[in-house]
Amino acid sequence: MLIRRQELSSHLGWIVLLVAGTVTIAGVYCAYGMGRPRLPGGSSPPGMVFGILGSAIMLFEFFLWPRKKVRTWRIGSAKLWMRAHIWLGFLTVPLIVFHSGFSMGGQLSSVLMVLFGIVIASGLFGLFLQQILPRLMLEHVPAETIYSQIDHVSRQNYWDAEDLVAATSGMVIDASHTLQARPVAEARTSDYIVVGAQRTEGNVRGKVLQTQVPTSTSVPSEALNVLNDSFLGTVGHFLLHGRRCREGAELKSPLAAAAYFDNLRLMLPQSAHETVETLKSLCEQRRQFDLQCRMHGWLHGWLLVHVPLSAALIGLMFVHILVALKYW
Amino acid sequence: MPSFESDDYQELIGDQLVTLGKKKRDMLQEGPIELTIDGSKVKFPRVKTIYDPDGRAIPEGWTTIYDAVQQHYVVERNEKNPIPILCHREHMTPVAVCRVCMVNAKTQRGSKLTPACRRRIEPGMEVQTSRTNPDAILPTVKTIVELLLSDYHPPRGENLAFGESGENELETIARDLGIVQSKNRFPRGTPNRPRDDSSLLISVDHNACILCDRCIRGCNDIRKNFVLGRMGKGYNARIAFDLDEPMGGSSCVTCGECMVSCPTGALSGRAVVGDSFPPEVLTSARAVDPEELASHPMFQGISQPFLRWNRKAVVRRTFKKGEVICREGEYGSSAFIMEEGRFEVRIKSPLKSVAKQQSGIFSLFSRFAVGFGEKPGDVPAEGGDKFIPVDAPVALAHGRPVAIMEPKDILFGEMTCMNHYPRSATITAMEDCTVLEILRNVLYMLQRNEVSKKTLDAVYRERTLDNYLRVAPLFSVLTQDTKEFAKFVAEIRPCVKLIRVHPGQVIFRQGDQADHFYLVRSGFVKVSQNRQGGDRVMNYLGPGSYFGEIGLLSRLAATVGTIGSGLRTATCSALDHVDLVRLPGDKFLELLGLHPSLQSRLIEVAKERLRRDEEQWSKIRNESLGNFLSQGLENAGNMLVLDLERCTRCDECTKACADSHNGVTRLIREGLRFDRFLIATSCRSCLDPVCLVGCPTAAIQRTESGDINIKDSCIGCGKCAENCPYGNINMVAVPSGEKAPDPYNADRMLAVVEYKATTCDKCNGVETPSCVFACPHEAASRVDGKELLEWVRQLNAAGKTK
Repeated sequence: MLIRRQELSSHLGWIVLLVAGTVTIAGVYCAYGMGRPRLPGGSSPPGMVFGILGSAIMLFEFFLWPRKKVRTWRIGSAKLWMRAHIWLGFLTVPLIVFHSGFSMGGQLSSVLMVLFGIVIASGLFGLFLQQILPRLMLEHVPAETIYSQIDHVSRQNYWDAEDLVAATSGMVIDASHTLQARPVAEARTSDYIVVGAQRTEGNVRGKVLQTQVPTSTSVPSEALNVLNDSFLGTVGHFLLHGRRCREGAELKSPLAAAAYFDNLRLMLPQSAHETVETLKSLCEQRRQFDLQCRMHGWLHGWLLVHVPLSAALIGLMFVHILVALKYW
Repeated sequence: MPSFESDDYQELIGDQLVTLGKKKRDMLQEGPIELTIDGSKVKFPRVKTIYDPDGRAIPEGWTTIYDAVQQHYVVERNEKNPIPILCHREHMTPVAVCRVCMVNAKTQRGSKLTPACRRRIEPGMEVQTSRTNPDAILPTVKTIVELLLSDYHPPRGENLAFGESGENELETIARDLGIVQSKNRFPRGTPNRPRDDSSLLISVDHNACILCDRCIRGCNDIRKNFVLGRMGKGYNARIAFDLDEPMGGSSCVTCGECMVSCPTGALSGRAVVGDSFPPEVLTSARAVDPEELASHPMFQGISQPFLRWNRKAVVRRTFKKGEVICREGEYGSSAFIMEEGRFEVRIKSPLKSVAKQQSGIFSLFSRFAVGFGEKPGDVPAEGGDKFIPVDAPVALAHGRPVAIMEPKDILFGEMTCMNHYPRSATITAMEDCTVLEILRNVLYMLQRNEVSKKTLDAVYRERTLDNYLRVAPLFSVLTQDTKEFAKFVAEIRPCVKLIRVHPGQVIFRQGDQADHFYLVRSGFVKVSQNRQGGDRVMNYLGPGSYFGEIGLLSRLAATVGTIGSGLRTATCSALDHVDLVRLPGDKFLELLGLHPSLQSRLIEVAKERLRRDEEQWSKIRNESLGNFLSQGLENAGNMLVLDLERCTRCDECTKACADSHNGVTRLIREGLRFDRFLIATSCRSCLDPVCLVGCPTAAIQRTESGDINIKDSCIGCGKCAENCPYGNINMVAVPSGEKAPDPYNADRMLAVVEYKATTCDKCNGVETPSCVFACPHEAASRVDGKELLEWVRQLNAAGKTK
């Protein structure tokens, strides 16, 4: 959340600048346009000034992008740049609107106005998403990991689960009993199993390591197939591919997954229930990863519109300046 | 030297010489044996002899083929011995475990390949080495070396000195035989054997060990220490110390013979690298020769190899009258042995030391926070303290915190040296003085070496114990009466035992029968309790503190039903290198009976401690403090926290960190959460920086601002990374600028990398570290544990916590 209601006071300077700027722009515009037959446009003195100011601000707004690429340069903190980006971005709206004289103008200026509108709208949409999604992610994805590492963590979880199932059922892990080949370094060499699982305890939320001692001797042989089949047929696929896989479709919803694992538990002896519980927990983690992917897509997807269109807007803005100067 | 049969009569003369039974002595009278070596007829005595000071011949052992070939080629012809040796050295008993020294020996019984180091010469024997019969010998030797290589992985930390020649003998032999690892017919095993870095001086990499037994023979036959042996069978066979103890916890005296004997670097010295003293010290100091040190009374019994490896770790410094030797509050990595002159010990602000007596869950925080500029409390926590404990064998009075030390006090500055705590006092030369300044390796050795340890303990018992008891707040009730205190010291002196505890070692466990009472000389002891809900650290006890009294006091009639049940109420363990004074429980109770004022004081304090423990537990139950403590956040001095309600997971913080550190990030945006905050995996600048303990080159240090800094003298041992409880130190491969042949492809050169420990350096002095500076969403902050807790409490109070 970038702007909190409780912390508006820290944005007070920017708000004052925005309001005062807007009032001043409107005042100057009205004073100049009073008594004139037409609304002043971009070629009028105030329109010209508004255009220059608006262009300068838009250029500054655009520089946030290269600024982020030179993170170690001490040219104002990113926080300051972002605040300026948001509030000065708002200020460009009255500047450009008054600059245009409430008219779309010719083809070029019409395209510019449309682009400007989309850039402003996409920026507002992004701001809105960044206001709400981090909190939603905090609430609904306690097992969150680094986005780029989701596939890796999922594979690791799969191998952990595979080890656990093998230890419980006596399954031999070879090419026919794995859905994902593991590198040599990842091969299990110890006598105990470490399973990454989600834990929520009080205010502590996140992933912790749990250890599980193999219980292979305690499961009757007829039950082995049930657990193995379930893992290789459904759970394993879901752990690896999440909502994208067809084989684990019944695990996509928490309710359906709960029913699936309840059913599995009924078919297995007591000694295997802990393993089922861990598998259930890993599937829950995978569902959260899927949710994280979706949220991450929303959180950053709007930039795919905002950034290229901003670049186009800046390019066309310069064309507009050249054309205006030529025919002025 | 070759050993004789078991029925031989052997006699020890002193510690070295061996005489033989009649049968073997008679052999001395026999004429030489004639044999053929590579076609040349030669004569050699059957038994090798040495001569005692009176010129009497003493048989040293049977003459072996290797001895004969050595004599024939090297001594007589000044040529290279054609027989390679690996597990054998001339001063060692041959065991022929590696079989690299194969020769073809032809006797009346036939011709066969035999290990030259072990096989005795016989009359008429024809010996063929690889010079005259390479086709019969070299393929076998090559196969043996290939097999050895397939089980061998070069040791980590290649810059460490090892071996007699300082080179890897196995790789040298392989190179001489033209063996290329990449073309080895036998697959290389997985390097899954453990590494033992428990000793500060020698590290053991079992993956590099080829079980040649040279270290074992060096330890047992040469040094007579009998610490090293073998354990396990087959693939699990490896060398072991005592009954498979970690080297640092074994009875090893760190003489270094095993390291000198090792041909592959599996046992390598963690010697001081380069000039570990700061430049300003080196300009005014003179390194002391190992030979000179060997004659110093404090260094008696320390092996020459050790002194040679650490030649830069001891310097002699002279100070003129009034010059400061070390200053209060500074961090350092050295201790001082006083040689000449008198030394003044002084502290500027006694209240700082008084604040150390504060107890409770934030005692450790307060202890360090005082050093960082917080105002200390005005009132001593355990009132009545008259003296201030410092890292020196003297006590400083509160009213006038000045004392004088002399060379007979021997040593000061141990705690700073061993545990990286700030200097507790300023030491000034009262006249022209001379000191030996020593680094941690050397101090560690002095504390283990029998002779110096005895001297240090004797001095402590005779001179320092008096001061120490005076300083301990517990005994302040006795110091009011000088006679009673003197009597008390005289009673306690013969009963106490001085013990040393390694970092992490448990002194006693909750539920154990109480049997001793302890006083902390130096270092910190962690007191923890286990109850429903897990373990909780209740306190950290520093120098001058005491513990173990509650279990003992319950035996007194006056405390029945009010203080414990005779069992330990908490687990006490060493946080770092801890020196303790231990008093037997019975004697402790007897002393209390003789000094009722002390007894009533102790009972009062014990009750207060129990009450405080209960209070803490109820706090933990009622507040989020439990989670706060379980994550060690109270110990954080400066950590990176991300407000997950603001963070858009853009990773700008991680990218900025990588940009600031040559493309290698020192933070990972992952970790445990406390409330809505993510504690990123990045250095926390702990108030109790356990990462500092054990660095052999003192490369990891705490700066004056409390940040952790790793210097270039890091040797990449990984000790700090192991020690960091939060995984915030990473080992990174850094190009050394050199190139070396690819062990798997001799035609190719590879860049040599060396491992260095890296951790967050807060971007070295900039006001805002890059991670925080680059965060556009105002999510990243650097705070200490207390501040974070305050934020969360405020959020709780405002009902904003989810």
